[in-house]
Amino acid sequence: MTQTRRDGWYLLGGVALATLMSVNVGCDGNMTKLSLESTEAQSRDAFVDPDNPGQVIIPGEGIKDNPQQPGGEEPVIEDDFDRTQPYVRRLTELQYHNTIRSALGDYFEPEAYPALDDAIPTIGFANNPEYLGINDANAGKLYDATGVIAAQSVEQVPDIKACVESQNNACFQELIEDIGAKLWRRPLTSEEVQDLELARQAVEAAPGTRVEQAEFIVQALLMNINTLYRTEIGPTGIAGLAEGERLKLSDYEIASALSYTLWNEPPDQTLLDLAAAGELGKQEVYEAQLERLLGDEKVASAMTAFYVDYLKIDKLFIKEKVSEFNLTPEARQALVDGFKQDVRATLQLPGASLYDPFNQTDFHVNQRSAPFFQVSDLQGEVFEQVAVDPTQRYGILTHPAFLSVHSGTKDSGIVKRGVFTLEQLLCEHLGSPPANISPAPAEDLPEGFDPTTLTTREALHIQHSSQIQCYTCHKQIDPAGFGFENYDGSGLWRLTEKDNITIDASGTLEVQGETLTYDDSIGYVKALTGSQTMQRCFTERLMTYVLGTKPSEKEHELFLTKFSENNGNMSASLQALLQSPSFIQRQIAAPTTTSEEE
Amino acid sequence: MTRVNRRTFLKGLGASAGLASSFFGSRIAMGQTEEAPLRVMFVALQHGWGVNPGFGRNFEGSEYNFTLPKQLQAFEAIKDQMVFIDGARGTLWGNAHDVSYTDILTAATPWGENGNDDNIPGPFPIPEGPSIDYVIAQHANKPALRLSARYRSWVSTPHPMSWDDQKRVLYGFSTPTDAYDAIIEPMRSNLQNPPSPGKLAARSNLFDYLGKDTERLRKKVSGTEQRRLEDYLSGLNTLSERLQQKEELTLTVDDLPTRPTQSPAFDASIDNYFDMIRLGFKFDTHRVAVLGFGEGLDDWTWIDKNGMMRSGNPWDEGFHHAVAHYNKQDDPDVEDRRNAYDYWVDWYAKKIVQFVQSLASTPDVDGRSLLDNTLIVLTGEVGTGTHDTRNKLHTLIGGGDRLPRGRWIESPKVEPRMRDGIFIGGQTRAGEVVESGINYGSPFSMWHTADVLKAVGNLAGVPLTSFGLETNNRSPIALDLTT
Repeated sequence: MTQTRRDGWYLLGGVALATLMSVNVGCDGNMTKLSLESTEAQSRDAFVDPDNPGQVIIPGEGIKDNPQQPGGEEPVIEDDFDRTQPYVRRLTELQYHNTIRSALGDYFEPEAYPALDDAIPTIGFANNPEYLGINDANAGKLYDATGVIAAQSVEQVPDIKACVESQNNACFQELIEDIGAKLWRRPLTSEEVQDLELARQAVEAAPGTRVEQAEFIVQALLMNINTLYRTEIGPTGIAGLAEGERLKLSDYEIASALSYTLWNEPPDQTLLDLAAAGELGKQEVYEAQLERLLGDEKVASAMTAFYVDYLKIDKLFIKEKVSEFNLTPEARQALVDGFKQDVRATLQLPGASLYDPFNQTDFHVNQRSAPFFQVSDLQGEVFEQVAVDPTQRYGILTHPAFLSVHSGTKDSGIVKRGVFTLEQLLCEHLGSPPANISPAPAEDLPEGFDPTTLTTREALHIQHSSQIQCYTCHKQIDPAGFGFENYDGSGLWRLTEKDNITIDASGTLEVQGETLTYDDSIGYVKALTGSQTMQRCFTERLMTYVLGTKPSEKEHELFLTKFSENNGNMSASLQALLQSPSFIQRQIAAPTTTSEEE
Repeated sequence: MTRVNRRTFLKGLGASAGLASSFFGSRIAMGQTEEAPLRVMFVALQHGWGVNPGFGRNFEGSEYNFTLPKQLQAFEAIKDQMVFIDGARGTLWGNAHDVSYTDILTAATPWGENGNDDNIPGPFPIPEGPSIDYVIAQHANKPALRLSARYRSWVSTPHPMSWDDQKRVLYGFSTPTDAYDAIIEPMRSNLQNPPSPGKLAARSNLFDYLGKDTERLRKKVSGTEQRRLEDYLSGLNTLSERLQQKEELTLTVDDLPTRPTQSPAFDASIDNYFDMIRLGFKFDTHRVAVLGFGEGLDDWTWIDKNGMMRSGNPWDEGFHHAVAHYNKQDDPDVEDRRNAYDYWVDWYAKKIVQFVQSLASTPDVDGRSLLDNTLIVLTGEVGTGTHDTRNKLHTLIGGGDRLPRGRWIESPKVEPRMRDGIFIGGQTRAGEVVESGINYGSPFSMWHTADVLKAVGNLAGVPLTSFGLETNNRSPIALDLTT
C-alpha cells in the first residue's frame, strides 16, 4: 500500500465522516479507499497513525475511529451457519465492579460498588442482554454509588489526587483520556474527550472547585454508556444493515468479548495493545491470546459464575422458607459460598472437564452449612473440603444450595424440581399451564385417600392422575421431580417423610427418546448427568450463556461434537466455543425480539 | 424556610431530541393551578380484594344502600367515601397469573400469547399498550411513584405492573429504604445541606453529557439495541427529574419522614410507603402512585369455625394455594381456609382505612382535604380465588365531589353458555379479534378492567375514549363514574 505521509501519519483516502456507518472496505490500486453507501457523506482525506491504526486524523476534525479497522484483516467467513445477532449488552454487576477496580484501583470497600439489582429469571440466564439494563429503579443506585466512588477516588487514586492538588487544568483532560480508555476498553475519540472536557469546564465556571470537577469527571465516566455496556456491532455499527448481513466485531470488541467471557474482567493491556495495532482479529493472534487467557486461573472463577447462573444458586438469598428449615441468612450465605468454592476448586484441577462439577463428591463446608450436609464436628467460618458419603451426595445437583432453591416453601417441591429439570437441564419446553387450571393442595385427594398415610409423591400422583387436564403435563413433569425426593426442602438427605413413611425416589423418565431409570436420588442424578439429552442441553446452555442468545442448530451441533470429542475438557471446550463463528461475528436478525429460548 | 426547586421536565438529553420527543412529546408544561389536582393511587393486592361471590364476597342491597361482605367489613368506617365496582373481567385466556400481571393496569394483554419474550424476565406477554398510571402521569407531567411491598410473581423478582408507551417495563422500588433514598433523601439532603454551585452544575451537566454519548452509540444500532439504549436514557431521565426538581415548594425538613430501618417489619414497611406517597401527593412532587401488596403478612390472626383464634397459615401448602387460592367446596376445611383468607384481606383493608383517614385529616392547597383530591383505586390479580380474572373487584376511594360515593355498582353478568351478542375473547398482537371457544362455567362480568381503567383515567382528567386493547372496551352499559 502506498502511503502519503504527513507529520508521521499516512494518508488513508476518502473517509466518510458524516455517519461513519454503512461503509465497506475495499482496495483500489495502491490506495486504500472506502466505498460509501451513504449518499450524504462527504469524502475527505484522513490520515492513519501508524502507531494506532484504530484511529484516523481528519484535518479540521481531529481524531476519529478508523472506519477501515474492522477487526484485523481477516475477512468475514462465508459459510451456511447462521450467526447470533449483534448486541449492545450491559456488563453484569460483577464485570462492572471489576472494570471499576481495574480502571481506578482497588481502593473501595465492597459495599461501595453499585448494586444493580438485576432480575434472576427462572429459566435461561441472568446475563442475557435482554435482562441487563439501567432502568428507573437502579439508575438512582448507580448515581449514588458512583458519586461515592468518585468522591473517594479524589482522595485515594494518586493520579486524580495529584491533578486536584495541581493548578494545571490540562491534567483533567489527561484523566479523561486515561481513565476513560480503561473504563471504555478503547481510546476515546477527540470528540468524546472534548464533550466531557466542555462539561467539566461548565462545572468549573459555576464556580466549582477542583475536587468537584474531578468528581464530576469520574462519575460521568463511570455512568457512561460506554462503560456500562459493551458492543458487538463491528467498527461502524449496524444501523442500516439488512437482515442476514454479517459483520465482524472490531478488535476492541473482540478484546472485551474475550476478556469478559473468560475472566469476567476488562481486557488487559496486552489485549488492548493488540487491538490498537489491529492485530487481534487475525486468526493466529486471536488463537494465541485465547490460549493465553485460558491458561489463567481466572477462567475457573469466571466459569463458576456460569454454574451459579445456570442453576439459579443466587435465588437462595430471596427464596421464602419456613423457619423449620433453619435456612438463616448466614446459612444461606455459607451454602452459596460453599457451592462457588466447590465449582471453582473442581475446575481449577488440571485437565478439568466442565462436566466434573456434576460428579464431584467433595464439598466445601463450614460450621454454618455443615448441618445441611449432615456433617458434624466442623467449627468456624472457614470452609473445609469434606468427602461426603457418595451414596447421599454426588455432584452439584445434590448440593443443598441447589436443592433449597428448587423446592417449595415448606416441602420438597416435586413439581418445581421437575419443571426446572425439564426446562433448564434437559431443554424441554413445557409452555404455560392451560386455562382455568387450579393447582390444588397436595392433601386435596379423591374420596377414600388419606393424605397423612401417603408420601407426597403418592398424593401428588393420585391427585394429578385423577384429573386428565392435569395428567397430560404432569405425567412428564412429576417423574422429573420424583428423583430428588431423597432431599427435603432444605436439601437434607432423607429416607422417610411425614410420620416415618418410607420415601420412594425411584422412577423412570422418558425424555427425547432416552429412558432414564433410577432407584434413588443418587441414581437419578447419575442417570440425568450421564444422559445424552442433558449433555446436549448443557452445551446449548453454555453456548447461550457465552453468546448471550441461543445458538443456531448447526453451530450447536458443531460445538457439541467438539465438546464430546474432548470429554468436556474446560480449556479445549472453551477454545472451541470461542472459535465458534458467532463469537466474533454477528448477523442481523429478522425484526423480532421473540425466541423460544426463555 | 428553605425551599426546594422542582423542574417539570427534563432539561438536557438535547442530543437525543428524537428520543426525547417520543417520551415527552405529549407533555405540556403545567404550573400550580388554583384548583388542586386529582392524585391517583393504585393499590394492587396480589390475590384480590375478596374472591368471587361463591367464596364469600357477597354485597347485598341496592346501589346506595348496601351491606359489605365479611372480609371487607373494615371499610365500613369509610364506606361513604367508596365506590365498589363489583365484577369486571380481565383478559380471559390461559393461566390467569401469566395474563393478569401485565393486564392488571394495562388491559392490553394480547390474546393467546404465553409470554416467553426475551424482553420480559418471566413467562408473561408484553402488553400492547401502556399502563394507566403511566398515561395519567404523562398527562399530569409528573413522575409516578411505584412501590412494591413484596408484590412479586412466581417467576420473577422484581415483578412488573407498569409499562410505558414503548412497551418498556417501568420498575418500582421494592424496599422502603430504596424508595426513601431515591425520593426523600435528596430532598432532605438539599434542605439540610444546600448543594454548592459546583455540585449543582455537575448534576445538571451530567445528564446532558451522558445523553450525548448515548445518542452517538444509538445512531450506530437499530431495533432492539436502540430500545435497550433508550431504556438507559429513560432511567437517567427519571433520575434527572428526581434530582433536578425546580418548582418551588413550601417544604421543610420537619415535613419529611425519617428514614426507614433497613429491614422493617412488613407492617412498618407499608406505613413507610404510605408516608412517602402522602408526602409526594401533598407537595405535588407526584400525582400518581402504584403500590403492590404481596404476601408479606405471615402472622395475621383469624377466628376459626369453632371460634378459636388462630395465627398465620397452618396448612402445609403455601399461602397462595392453601388460603388465597383455595376454592374446593367439598373440603371439610374450606370454612377455615375462607376465614383465614378473610382475615388476611381484613388486615390490608384496615391499613387502607388508616391511610384514608390520614389523607382526610391532611389539608390540601385548595382548603379541602387531601382525600378529596385523591382517588385510591384498589385492584388485584385474580377475581375468583382460582387462576381466573373473571369477576375482579375494583374499589374507588376518595376523589371528593368528582364522583358520587357510597355506592355499590354490580357489573351485569353474562351466562357463558348463552352469550348471544356478547363478545368473549380478545385481540392478538397483530390486531386479529378472536372469539373464545372456552366454556368458562359460571357467569362473569360484561365489563372489562379496560372499562374501569378508562373511567379512572377520565376522572383524572385524561380524555380517554377507550383504554387498552380496543376489543377490551366491552361495556354495553357505560361505566360512567362522574357526577
